[in-house]
Amino acid sequence: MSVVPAQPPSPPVEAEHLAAFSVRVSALSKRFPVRRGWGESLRHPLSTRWVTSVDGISFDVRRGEFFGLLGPNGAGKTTLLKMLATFITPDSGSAEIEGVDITNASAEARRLVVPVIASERSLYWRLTARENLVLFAHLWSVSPVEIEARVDDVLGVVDLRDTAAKLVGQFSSGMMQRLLIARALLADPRVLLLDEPTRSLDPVSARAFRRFLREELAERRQCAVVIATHSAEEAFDLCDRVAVLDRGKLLAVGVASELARELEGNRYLAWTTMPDHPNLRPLLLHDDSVDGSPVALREMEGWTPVLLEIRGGPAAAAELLRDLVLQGVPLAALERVPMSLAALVERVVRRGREGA
Amino acid sequence: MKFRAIGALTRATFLTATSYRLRFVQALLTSFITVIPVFFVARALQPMMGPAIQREGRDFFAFLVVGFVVMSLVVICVDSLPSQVAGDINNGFFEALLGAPAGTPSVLVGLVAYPVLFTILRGTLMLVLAAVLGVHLSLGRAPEMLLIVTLLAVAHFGVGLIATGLMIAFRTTLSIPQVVITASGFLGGVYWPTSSIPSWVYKVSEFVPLTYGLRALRQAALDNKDLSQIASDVLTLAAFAGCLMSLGILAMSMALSYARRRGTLSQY
Repeated sequence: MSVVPAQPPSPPVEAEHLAAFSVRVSALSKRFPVRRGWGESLRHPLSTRWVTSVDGISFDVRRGEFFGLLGPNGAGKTTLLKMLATFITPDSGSAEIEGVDITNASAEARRLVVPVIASERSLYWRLTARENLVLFAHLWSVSPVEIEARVDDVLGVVDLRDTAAKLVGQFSSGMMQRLLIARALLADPRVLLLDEPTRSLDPVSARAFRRFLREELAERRQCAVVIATHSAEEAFDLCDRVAVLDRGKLLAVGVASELARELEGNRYLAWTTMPDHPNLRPLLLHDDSVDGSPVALREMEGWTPVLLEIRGGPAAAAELLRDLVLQGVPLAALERVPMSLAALVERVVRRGREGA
Repeated sequence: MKFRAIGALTRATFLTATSYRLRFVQALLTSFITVIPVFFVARALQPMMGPAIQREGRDFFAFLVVGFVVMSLVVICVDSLPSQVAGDINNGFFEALLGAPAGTPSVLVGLVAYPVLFTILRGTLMLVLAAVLGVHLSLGRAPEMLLIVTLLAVAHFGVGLIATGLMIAFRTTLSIPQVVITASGFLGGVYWPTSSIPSWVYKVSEFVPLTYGLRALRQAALDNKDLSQIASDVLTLAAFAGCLMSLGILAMSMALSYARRRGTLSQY
């Protein structure tokens, strides 16, 4: 488990260690000029203000690993993906796909990394699914004798073989998303880049789609996948590791569940039938292990949860529980509040901003 | 240049175009039918225009038909690529194409190959109908004609590349296609010979590649002149083609580099 607040450039690694990585990003940075109003442009025609979109980010992705990029809007996730796809040139730093530098050998890198363009309009709607795939098979220089079989294969993978002869314009959003994935798979990529792949899918389709991604891409094809997402469920379902970004900086990276455990904090709920018990509040306010003021939440079937922040981990919580019982406070349970990934990301981002 | 990629894009565009059946048939018929009114108007103007086109076939109907066919090719070469790329930038298709390792030149040629081929087909239909209506084309000068049409296409595709570069970098063509099309139409000798326009405007027409291309083409196709007799115009046109295509490639290269730096290859 490696939860790091910010990532320094990776140290030199041995050749065999290096070979295990599909993606290596080192101190990658990108900034863009800020669009200015007419007035400011006329007053200061030569000056340019810049906003940093990606700020010295470093991480590695292993073969067959699902790596999630999480963060609020404007965190730099899409810019990072587009740099890996060679659509945006980095200002500084470097990134390698299977050992190929994306800046100095972008044409070669393009053979290894395939971005899934999320726009459904990037398909020919007046052509069938098969015709769309055949077009891109030619663009990807798939051998003419293999095209038929390869197209059939990827259509089967995304479960569209039965609708291969249907015009894409008649597809649902979910089918189009699957076709976009199929188009990317034609190239047999070593690294796949996905930017919010389930944003236009209903929850049931999204779940099925994630299962397909996991089984087909990571397990069967051993394809490294970098996925930018807002969805906590998606990150938990899919990703081996996640990185949390905010304002272009990498705030934390680690295994999703361990990251949550490490950062989930000290929030507990004490379930009582007497939230206004005379000994409860004084004890909580004077106990050194309790941070801030306890908050009584809405009663449920006679029990009221009181939200507490307890420093010192399970031992301190157990001690507090004992004290409360000894003071005669009727308690059913003192339980740790599991944190949603959304809250986790929010916490990491808040912590990053406070530390900045 | 990857011809498989060009062929695949051409096929996809063709399938898309022919899926709109009524529009496809109408486009073919319109070009065919356009020739009829031109025939009658040209006949009416023949006594007045005949003396002015002594060195370009003498027949005003043939003069006009050749002008229209070439003009439609010029319009497609100049305007179709920037229009196509503008749409493809907005829907993400341009990014999808550039993400494939086919190479930018193949992608760009592939995007315009079908419109150009369809325009050539429409032009051929117009010429066939014109032949039925009495126009005599010197088919023995087909190599010269092919050379001139190719140079015209290259020169104007260069302009199209410049406009596309501007579109990619700044989301505007600065109306370059419209200016070139208008200038070519009025000053390039499509509707009347450049010799009949006022002297100061004639000076401007010397900067229009179509002036040399059309004059040379009409002399070859309608007056049976060989390459040595039209060498001056062909060489000037070739110089235009070389310069404009070089500028176009430079503009595209700079625009793609700029868009990659600014992150504006797509805006969907």
